[in-house]
Amino acid sequence: MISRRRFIQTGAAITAVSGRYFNGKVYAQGKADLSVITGPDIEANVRAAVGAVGGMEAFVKNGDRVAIKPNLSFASPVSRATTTNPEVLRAVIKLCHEAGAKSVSVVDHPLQDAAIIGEKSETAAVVKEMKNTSIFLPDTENLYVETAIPNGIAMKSTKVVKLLGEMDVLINLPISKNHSATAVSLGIKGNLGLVWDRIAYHNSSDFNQSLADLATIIKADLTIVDAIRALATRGPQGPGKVLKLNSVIAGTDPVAVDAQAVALTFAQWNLAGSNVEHLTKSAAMGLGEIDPSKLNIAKQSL
Amino acid sequence: MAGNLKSKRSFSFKLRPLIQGITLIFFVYLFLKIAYPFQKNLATNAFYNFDPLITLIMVLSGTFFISALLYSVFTVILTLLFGRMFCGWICPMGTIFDLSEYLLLKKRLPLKRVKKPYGNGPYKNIKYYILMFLLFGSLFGFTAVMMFDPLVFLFRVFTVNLHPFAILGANEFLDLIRPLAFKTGALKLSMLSFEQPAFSLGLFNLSLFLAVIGLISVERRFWCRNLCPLGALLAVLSRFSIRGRRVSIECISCAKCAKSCPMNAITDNYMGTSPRECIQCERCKDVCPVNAISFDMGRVVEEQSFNPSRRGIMLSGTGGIIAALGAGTLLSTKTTAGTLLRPPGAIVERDFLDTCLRCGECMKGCPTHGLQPAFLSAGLEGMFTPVLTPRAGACEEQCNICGQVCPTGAIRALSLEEKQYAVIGNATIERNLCIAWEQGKVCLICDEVCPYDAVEFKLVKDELGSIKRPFVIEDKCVGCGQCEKGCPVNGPAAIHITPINEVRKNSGSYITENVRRLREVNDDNVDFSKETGFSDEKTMPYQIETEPETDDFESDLPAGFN
Repeated sequence: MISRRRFIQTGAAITAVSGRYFNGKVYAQGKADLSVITGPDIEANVRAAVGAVGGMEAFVKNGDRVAIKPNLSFASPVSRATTTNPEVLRAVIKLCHEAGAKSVSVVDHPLQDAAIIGEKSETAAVVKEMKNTSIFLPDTENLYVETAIPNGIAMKSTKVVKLLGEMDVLINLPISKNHSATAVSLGIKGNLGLVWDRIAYHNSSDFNQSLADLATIIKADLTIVDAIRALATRGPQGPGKVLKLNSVIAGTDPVAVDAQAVALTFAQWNLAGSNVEHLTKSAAMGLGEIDPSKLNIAKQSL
Repeated sequence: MAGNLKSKRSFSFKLRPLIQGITLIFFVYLFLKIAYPFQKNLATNAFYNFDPLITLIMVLSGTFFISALLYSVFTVILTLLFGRMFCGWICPMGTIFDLSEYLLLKKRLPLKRVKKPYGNGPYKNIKYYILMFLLFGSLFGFTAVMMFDPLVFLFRVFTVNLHPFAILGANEFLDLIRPLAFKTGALKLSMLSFEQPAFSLGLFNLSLFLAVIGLISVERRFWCRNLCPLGALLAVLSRFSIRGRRVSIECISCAKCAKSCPMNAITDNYMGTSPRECIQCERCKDVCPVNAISFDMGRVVEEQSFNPSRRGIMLSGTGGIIAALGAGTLLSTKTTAGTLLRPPGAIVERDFLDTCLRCGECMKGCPTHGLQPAFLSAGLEGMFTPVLTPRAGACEEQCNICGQVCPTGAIRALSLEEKQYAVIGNATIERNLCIAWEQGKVCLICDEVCPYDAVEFKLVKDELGSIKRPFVIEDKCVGCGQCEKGCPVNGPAAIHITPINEVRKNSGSYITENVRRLREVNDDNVDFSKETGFSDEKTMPYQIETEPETDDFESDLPAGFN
C-alpha cells in the first residue's frame, strides 16, 4: 500500500472530489477549492466548510492515523480568541472519526508551559472526552528529528516533531488572529507549532522567509481556519479586540486559505493576503495562490 | 540455659521498619504531589507542621506564625512521654540512615566494634551546641542554619538531587525504548518524555548529603547522635520520658545490647540507659539472649549524665548571636537587597530571610524550574533561598504554586488573580544587545510571549530605517521573565528583569486601580500602519483616519459575503 503521507516533505494539492451528504442536508457541491461558511452553529459550520471542499472522506481514509494541529499556545479562555475554539476542534475530530480514522492525535508545541496547557486549556480538555483521540504537547528536544529544508532560503534545516512520521494525514486548525511580528498567525505561521526551535526562525536572516521555507516541507492535507472568534489586535497573546465572525474557512491551498482568513478578519481595514509578508513570500515559492478570488470559493450563510 | 532462652523477635522488630517504610513512602508521596496542578490539602506540609524545631525557631525569630505549626505540640507530647521515638520510628532521615546501614554496611564493612566506655560517644554534645547556635541565632534574626533541620535538609536533597536523577534515569530509559515504541505504534509511550529539572548548587547539596550518609561508617547514626538539631531538642525533652528500657537481674553482662544499640545509649554496666539518646528501637531487646530487657512505662532513672560543657553551651549560644549580628552587617543583606528577584508574593526581604526554611518546596513546585537556590548572591544567610532566574525558567501567569506550598508563609499564598498583580520586578531592554534595535531584525519574541501585554512596538527611524522596536510598558509589567526567557540573543538576554518597582507586602492586596484599568482592552482606534505587524506603508491600500463605525459583526458579515 502506498503511504498516504503527503503532508511532509513532498506535497501536492488534493483535487476536490464530488460533494457529500451530511445529516441529510446537501451542502455546497464539493468541487470548491475554498469554502467560507458563516452561521450560528459551530459544528454545522465545520461540516459545511469541509463538505464544500470534498468532505472529510476525501482526506481521511479508513484506518488512517490523523494528526490535527490546532493552536494551543496558551491556556487562555475561549473568549480571548488566541487559541483554537474547543467546539471547532471537537467537530473536526468527530469528522475524522466518522471518515474512519484509526486514531486522531492532537499535537502542538505550546509557548506556555505544557503541563499548564494540558491542565487548563479548554481546547485541550475536549480531547479527554473523545475516544481514540490523544493529545501531545512535546516539550523536550528528544521528541523532534532534524529534517532538511532543501529549498529553504533563510532556513535550511529544522527539527520537526517525530510524531508526524507516524501519521497519514495532517490537518492544520489555526484560529484567525493578529500577530505583532508577522501580521497574522494562521496556518503557515501555525506550522511553528510542529518544530522544536521556533527561536531560530525569529533569529534567522528573514523571519517571514523562514516561515515560507518551513511551509515547503510541512504541507497540511487540509487547512481549516477557526474564525468563530478572531483576534484583530494585539496578537498573538492579547488581550485585544475580538471580532465575533462565526465563520469557518477550509481549503487545501494553505496560502489561499490564510489569505481568505486575512480578508475576512481584517475587512474593516481593507487588508488582504498581499499585505502579509510571509504569505507573499510563500506564494513566491509556489506554495499557493495569494489571491483567493482566482479560486473557486464556496460561500454560505447557514 | 542461654540456648533455650533465645529471645523472641519482638513485635517492634517487625512493626518499626513497617512504620518507617510507610512514613518514608508518605514523605516521597507528598514530595511528588508538589507539582502542577497542585491541590493544597491538610497533609501537604505535614512533616514540617509536626516539627517542633521549626515551630520554636519561628517563635523565637518573631516572624509570621502559621497556626498549622501548632501540630508540633503532638510531637512534643510524644517525646515527653516516649522519648526520641520520633527519631527511631518516624523521621525519614533516620529511616534513610537505617536503610543505608543495612544496604551498605552490613555486608561490606564490619560494624565498628563499639569500644568501652559505652554510652559516652565523644561527639554527642555537638548537637546541643548546634541547637544553641541555631536558637540564639534565630532570636537575633539569623535563621539560615534552619537548612540543617533534618526534614528540611532531606526535602531539599530530594528536590535538588534525587528527583532530577530519577528523571534523568527515566528519560534515558524512555529514549532507549522509543524506537521500539514507534515501531509498535504505541504512540503515547513513544512520545513520553519528562522535562529535566536542573538546579544550581546541586553538587554542593549532594556533597553535604553524601557526607552525612558517609558518616555512618564512623559511628552508627552519626547525624542523629551528634549533629541533628531536632534530635538535640527532642533529647532535651526526653529527660522525663515515661517509657523506656528496663533491665532485669537476669542480665549476664554479655554486652550484646550495648553493641547493638545504634545510638550508643546503653551504659557500661548494661543496666542503665540514657533516655536522651535512646530512640526506642528495641534492638537491644531483640538481641538479649536471656530476655532481660523490656520496654515499659514508668520513669527511667538516668544513668548517663547529661554533660555538654557549660562553656560549650555558652560559646555556641554566643556564636549564634554573633553570626546573627554579623550576617546583618558583614555579609550583606545591605549590599544584595534589591538585586534579586524573589517569587511573587514573597514578604519583605528581612522577614523573608527570617522565615524561609530553605526547604525547596517552592522550587519543586515551580513548573518552569525558574525558582533556583541562591548561593551567596543573597548573602550567606540567603543560601538556598529561592531566587527567580528567568533564563532558567520564567514565572507562569497561570500558576501560583509557590505560595500555596510554602510551609511558613515566606511566600504568601496568593490567589491566582492576586499573584498576577504581585510585581516581581520590571523588564529592561538593553538596546545594543536587542537584535530589533541594533540590527533591525523582525524578532519581537518578547511581545509574543508576554502574558501581560507589557511590551509594545513602535516604529522608530534611524540609520537602519523605519523599523519596529520594542518598548516596555512598565506599569503593566510584573517582571515574570517570559521575555527574558524567550529572548533569542546568546548569553545575557537583551531584555531582562531587574527588581526595580518590585512590590513586597506582608499583607494586603496587590491589585491597584491603575493597573486594573491599564489591563482593560480598548482597541477601537487602533492604527494599523504603526502596530500589528502588517507590511510597510507603501503596500497598504487602506484608509485609517476614519474610525470604524461599528464593531458589531454578529449580524453584519464583512463585505463580499452573502
